Amino acid sequence: MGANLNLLEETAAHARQIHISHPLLLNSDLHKLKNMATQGFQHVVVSCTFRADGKPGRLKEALGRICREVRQAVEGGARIIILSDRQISDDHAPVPTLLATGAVHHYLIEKKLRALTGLVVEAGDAWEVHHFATLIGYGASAVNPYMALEAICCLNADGKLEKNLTDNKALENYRKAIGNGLLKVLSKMGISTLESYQGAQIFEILGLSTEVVETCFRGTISRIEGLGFDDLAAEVLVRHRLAWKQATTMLPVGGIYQWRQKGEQHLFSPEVIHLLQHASRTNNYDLYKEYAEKINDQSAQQFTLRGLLDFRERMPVAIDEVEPVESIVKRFSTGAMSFGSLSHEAHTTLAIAMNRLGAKSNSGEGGEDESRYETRPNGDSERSAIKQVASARFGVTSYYLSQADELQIKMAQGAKPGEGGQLPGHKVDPWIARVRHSTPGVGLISPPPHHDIYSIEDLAQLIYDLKNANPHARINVKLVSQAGVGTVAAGVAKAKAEAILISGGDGGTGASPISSVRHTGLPWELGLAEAHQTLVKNNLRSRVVLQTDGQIRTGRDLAVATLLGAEEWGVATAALVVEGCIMMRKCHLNTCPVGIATQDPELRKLFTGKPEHLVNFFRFLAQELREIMAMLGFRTVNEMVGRTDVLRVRNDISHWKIRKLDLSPLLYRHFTEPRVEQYKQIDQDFGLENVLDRQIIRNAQQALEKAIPVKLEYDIRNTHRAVGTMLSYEISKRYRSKGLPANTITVHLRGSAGQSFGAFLAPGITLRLEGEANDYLGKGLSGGKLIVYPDRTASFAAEHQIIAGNVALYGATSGEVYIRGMAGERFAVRNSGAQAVVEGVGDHGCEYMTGGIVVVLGNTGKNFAAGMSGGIAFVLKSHHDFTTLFNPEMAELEEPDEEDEQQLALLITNHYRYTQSNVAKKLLGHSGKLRDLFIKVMPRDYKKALMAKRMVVHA
Amino acid sequence: MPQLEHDACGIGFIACISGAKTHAVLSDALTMLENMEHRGGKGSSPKTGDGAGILFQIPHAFFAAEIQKLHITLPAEGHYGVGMVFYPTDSRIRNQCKEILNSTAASLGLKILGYRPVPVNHQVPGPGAAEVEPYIEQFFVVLTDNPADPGRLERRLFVLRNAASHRIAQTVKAAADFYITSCSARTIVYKGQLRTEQLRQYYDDLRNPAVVTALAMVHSRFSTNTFPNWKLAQPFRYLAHNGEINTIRGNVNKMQSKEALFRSDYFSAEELNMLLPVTNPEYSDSANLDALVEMLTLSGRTLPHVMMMLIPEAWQDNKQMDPHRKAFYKYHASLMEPWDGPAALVFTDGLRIGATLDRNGLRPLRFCITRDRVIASSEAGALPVNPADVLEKGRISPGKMLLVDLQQRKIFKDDEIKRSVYEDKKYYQWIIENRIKTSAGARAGRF
Repeated sequence: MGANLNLLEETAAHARQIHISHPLLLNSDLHKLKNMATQGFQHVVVSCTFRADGKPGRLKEALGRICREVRQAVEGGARIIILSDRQISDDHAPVPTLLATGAVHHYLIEKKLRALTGLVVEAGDAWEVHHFATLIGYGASAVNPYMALEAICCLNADGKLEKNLTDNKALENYRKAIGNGLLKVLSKMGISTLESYQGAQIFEILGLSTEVVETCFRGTISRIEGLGFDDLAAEVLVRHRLAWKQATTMLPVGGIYQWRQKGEQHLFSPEVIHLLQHASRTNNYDLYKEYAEKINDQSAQQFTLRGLLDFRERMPVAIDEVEPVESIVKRFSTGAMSFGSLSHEAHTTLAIAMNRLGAKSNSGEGGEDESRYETRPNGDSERSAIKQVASARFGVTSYYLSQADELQIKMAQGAKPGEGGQLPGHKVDPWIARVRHSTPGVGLISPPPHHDIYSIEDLAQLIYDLKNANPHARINVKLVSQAGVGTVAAGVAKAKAEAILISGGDGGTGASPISSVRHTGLPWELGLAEAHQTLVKNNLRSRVVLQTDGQIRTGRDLAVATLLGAEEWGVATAALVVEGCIMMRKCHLNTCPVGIATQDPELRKLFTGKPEHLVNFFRFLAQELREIMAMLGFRTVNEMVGRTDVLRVRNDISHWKIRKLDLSPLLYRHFTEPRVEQYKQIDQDFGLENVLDRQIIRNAQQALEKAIPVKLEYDIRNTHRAVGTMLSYEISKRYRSKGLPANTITVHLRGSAGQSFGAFLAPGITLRLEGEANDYLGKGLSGGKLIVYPDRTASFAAEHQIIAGNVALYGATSGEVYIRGMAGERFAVRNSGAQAVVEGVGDHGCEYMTGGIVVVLGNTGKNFAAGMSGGIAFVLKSHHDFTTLFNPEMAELEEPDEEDEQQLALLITNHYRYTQSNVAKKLLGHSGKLRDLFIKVMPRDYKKALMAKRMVVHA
Repeated sequence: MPQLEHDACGIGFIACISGAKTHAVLSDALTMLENMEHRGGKGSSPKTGDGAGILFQIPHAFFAAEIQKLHITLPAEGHYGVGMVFYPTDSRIRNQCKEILNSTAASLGLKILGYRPVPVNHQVPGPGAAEVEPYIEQFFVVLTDNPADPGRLERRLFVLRNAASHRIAQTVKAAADFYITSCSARTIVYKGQLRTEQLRQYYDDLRNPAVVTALAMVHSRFSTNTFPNWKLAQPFRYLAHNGEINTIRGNVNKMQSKEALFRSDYFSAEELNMLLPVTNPEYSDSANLDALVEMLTLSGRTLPHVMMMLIPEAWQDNKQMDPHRKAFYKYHASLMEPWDGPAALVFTDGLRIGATLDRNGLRPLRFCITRDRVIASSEAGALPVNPADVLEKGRISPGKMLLVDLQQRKIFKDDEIKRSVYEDKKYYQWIIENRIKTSAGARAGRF
């Protein structure tokens, strides 16, 4: 903090700045900042209050005054501006500090003075992570949340905090929590430093007027208008009156996060839940209509944007002319909820119901038990039509992918965009561990990003990989409704997705983190409208199916979604309610009393959901939609898609806040030539006709049909991508997860392999690559063998060259890899079972690994074994100091034992045999024990679990 | 809304270490680009690309011969600049733009010797791109005062490009398409809303064996939208960027205040006035980054220095880092916040060419060193080379840098480059003596 000087020169004076180690200032820190004038840092406190007489214009006037005072102060030499709302009184109310901060920040930018001063906020209205994130995001350098601090001390004095906690410790804990929360927000946004986050204003605004946005948040996206300064002042004055004018000691209960009788209203009330369950259990459409009316009517009470919309009158058609229920229900899918978060019973019941309807259930992330691929005697199938591919890639094998009608890449989850998930150890029972290819009792982390997607061309590559892994599956990309989702959707369509799901922010289970429940993700209406409009504008709409989900509960919701641009819909929460969910919002605790969100065998017995209940419910939804279609004169869903001209904004809404909204951007229709279609009609061209695998498959017929070994040879170039993946599909289709016997198909390739070489390689295939590989080598390796070594004519020392790219073995589940040479960053990230030998790796090696073995015959980069909860790594003891590169958070270093000796000998011998590695040769010629040359990286929980297992075996 | 648009791509460069100029460098760079077609994007028509381009050294002999046809004699190599301009197709508007370009040049003591329409093949661009295809022309320009000072010429050309672009944007209606791809005595940029293999077909010059260079930088673009636009193609003047600057809004806002404080020994107040602003919220993140790199380089810093201050490696928690190196980053943190996000960057000033990666290494960049060349690209093998010729195969690691200096005929690795930068000034001493650290009680969190 301090002044920036002329950027075009460098002098000692440029370094004259104050470095603050944490953006949350305790009172003592603020005090220090106020006493730095002698060091050249004058401060000025600017009072952020406005006259509380309720007259129009007061808040705006106050902001003008604040900006002027700040300007004078900066021009007068102040290097620290403190915006403070402490000076409130019975006739002065606080200016919301976010407004003050944004206004000052933008005013100073406009006057070209911003670089001259630091901005500190002394805020009574900042207490949770989001408050700090927004204050910093709009220009604050640091925040002193004096009210929150005082409240903590007060709670402590009242004995409401842990015993023996000093005030200082409590405040430090709070500061730490806010700091960690901010780090999470930053990383979600792909930003690594607070300096860069400051003023980056990565937000979307909902419900503020253009005037407010222009004054305080210039450049931020805000699409639906909303409150002006006087409206905001009125809200502040409500609280001001409570504090100063009314003799009350009780504050309202709140209930923002959980339903309370007198608190904030929620979408599913107990009454509605009961009606829905009763209707679907008794197959009573009249009761369903009663439920739907309650919800639809509830929307008149302003829970949702769609509740603010109504249909225009049009010439109706007879309901018999409308597309039948049987065809409409095929457009349904259920939300992605994993086996692990749901019980087996709840998960399979959903699948059976959707399969009966010809609709699609979603596996969620976490794999699928292979027994579910076999049809039951009564014709029911528990197989999820949609297989999800999420960041952790749990259980994503060639066979899993081959068993899908649709593959869904989960870019984000509407209820917690940008965040990963965590399955605590107590939920990972042997069954779940088997399906996820992990260790029972060891917690599992789903990392927030896909390690193979940091850019749109990476997504295009993953889509290509999955299309090769199952050419018959539709590729779906799940996006979250947020600002800019339109352009992202256009990019995704260009990356050749065949379906795009716009997931609304209202969904999500009780397991979502609290900070995500309220402040991230938008209603699907906004994202869907934007995505549809942008796709139409780019003439890409006809290439993709557009789906939406997020608290879709009635046929009316379906109708609005369709008119806004969706031709398919997802339903999650309502389906769970039909299965018996009573919205306890305790999904993460394993104590679900109705056997849905639990793995507890006793609680699971309480599950009462039946496929027929769900079938009834989805048919009801379709029937209600049909009735609306008939009323609106639509015979098919397709002709209804994107017809926003049939919607209008309700004019009978009286709430003063709602009236300020302008929903016309939702209903905007891009003028299009008749040839620009509004729903999916044209197939994407993946260019799969000429992939190398087609040749390999043709030449390997003997092996594929009769398991007769074949050996093949080809030249390879970087344009040959995902080599071996389609071949693996052919094997998995025929031979399931077991595949073919080892080395049945051996392919020798010479040259530089394109990305995703050997992705999802099935058992029985050995790819020998003479040359080098690019990124994603052995992604999702599923039992095959990969051997990479330099060209025979190369004269360099292989162990010092990069022979494989970044993110090798991401999400590998089994198989072997031998690389003569080094690999790049994030080697074996999220590996859960493959064994690999490599002669050096870059940063973040073995990150988030849950199983398998990695032997590094050389150096590693930084942050080795971060988040590693399972598997073992052996690293050659070399001259560089591995202990400083290793991340000790979850794993520890030990000396290998005798059992490890055998393991090492086997793998290194293989490595030499397959690659003629000089390093391996030298090691094998070593006179002593191999294990003395290695250091072993062992995850702590994994070790405990292994020991426990051993105890059982010995007992 | 530019802030909602994202683009990403494949990038690469070829440098001939000896500085020898050949057409093979150009042609091989184009082959490398074509082999990364799958990293670029296509619109709703498969014929319409999102953008592709190449930057290389001014092919002096070729231009001299071409201009001689117009009975104009070019001065010696390096003593003149070449501007490559996208003009609006309407000839009236084009002439207005040209007039301003000429008058701006004159006011800067520059003289435009002549113009050369760039021969192109109009059948090549796909639908959409063809509709907004610009009229492309080169101009040749010399400095009237002190023509032999290359630094001076390069800076003056920079002022010309910015000042003319600003004035045209402000005064000529319907000239939004006016764009100078490059204006330099060292490098030239051929690009457009093309697919990778269309680039070579579109520009005749790129197929002409007389067009030679010792370095070439390429870029293929994948954008999340398909609104036709030729000027969003890369390379820009100094950079080709694969990735995204997630903090762009804050960076550009802060630049507005910082630009107001600009003073320089290299530019007069009047020149600064003419050329600023260099950053602009309307530009893409990559274009803004490029503009700033150019500004900071031409005002006296070396190219590696500029890259280190804008895209710093992760230094905060690195206990092994040389304290002087750390001091460099601490010092620059008080000048400039990082331009943060996944990024692979290749950069050149026409004399040196190099590459760097963001602190987390979230984009790939592989390189291969042969006896006479350094080849770097998003994918290994994008330009096939004889394996027997390869001396080294590597990758750019997170936050690290590689540089080829064609004048010194030398390859510099990260430590060597950075040491020369951070030992150049007394950053360590400056930090110790001036930086004030408030110890906020016990250290909590990781800030």
